[in-house]
Amino acid sequence: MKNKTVFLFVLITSVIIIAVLIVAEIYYAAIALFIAWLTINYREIWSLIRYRKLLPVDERMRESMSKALRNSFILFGMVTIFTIFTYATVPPDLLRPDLEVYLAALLAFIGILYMLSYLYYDRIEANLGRKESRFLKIALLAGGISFLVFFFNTFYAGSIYPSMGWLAFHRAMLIGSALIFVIGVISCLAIFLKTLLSKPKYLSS
Amino acid sequence: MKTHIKEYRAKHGLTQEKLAELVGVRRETIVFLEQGKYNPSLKLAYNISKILNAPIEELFIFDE
Repeated sequence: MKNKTVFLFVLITSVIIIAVLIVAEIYYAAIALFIAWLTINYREIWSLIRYRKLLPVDERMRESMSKALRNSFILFGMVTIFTIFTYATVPPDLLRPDLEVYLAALLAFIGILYMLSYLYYDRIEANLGRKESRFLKIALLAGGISFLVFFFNTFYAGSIYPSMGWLAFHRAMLIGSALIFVIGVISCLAIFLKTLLSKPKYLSS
Repeated sequence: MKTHIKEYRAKHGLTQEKLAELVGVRRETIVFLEQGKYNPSLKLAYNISKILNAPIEELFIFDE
């Protein structure tokens, strides 16, 4: 009953906000909110379609959901601080996306991050071997650091490198960090999908 | 952690799905419990022991 009430509350609230966004012609944000709603509620939607009932929200699911929410919230805070810092320091002609596009991207990003975090805690974490788990952490860390290196080398090159003599080094850093970022993200996704899509051992009765 | 849930469940002729339904959790939770990959709350452990009619310490074996 409680599960159904929460699902209906989220559904009705999302529909109202999406309708308001559409009336206000903020289509990007409306689409992003819809994607976020889909990613957050995909379990319930899938269960309703397949079994015509909502899944019980058990203690394991609650734990995974609260950990995923915590991760999304932390990342939301980090992205907000990063954005304020960027807007305050990068010249306007270099970086000024439309606010609605930015908000839409942020919403969709947080929604997707919530879904990935949830899947990780609910389906992947327990099935990862020690080596895979360590590799996943290293790949995530490498991806995060290389993103920051790429970002600062793109928008703050003037402040970091004092003269044109650093041009070759600057280019090497740009290419290197982009490469490491792509490799890091692909490695993370590969481990994630391999574990997620591997045949579950629980199919025996 | 090791568990003997699977053996007791088989003894009672219960499927993972049925046991999950009886204790109000998802099937995946029973799976992870049987594989020893999830530490249940005392309430869940108690409910399972009640359904399977076995003491908790026989169902769940913790490595010291």
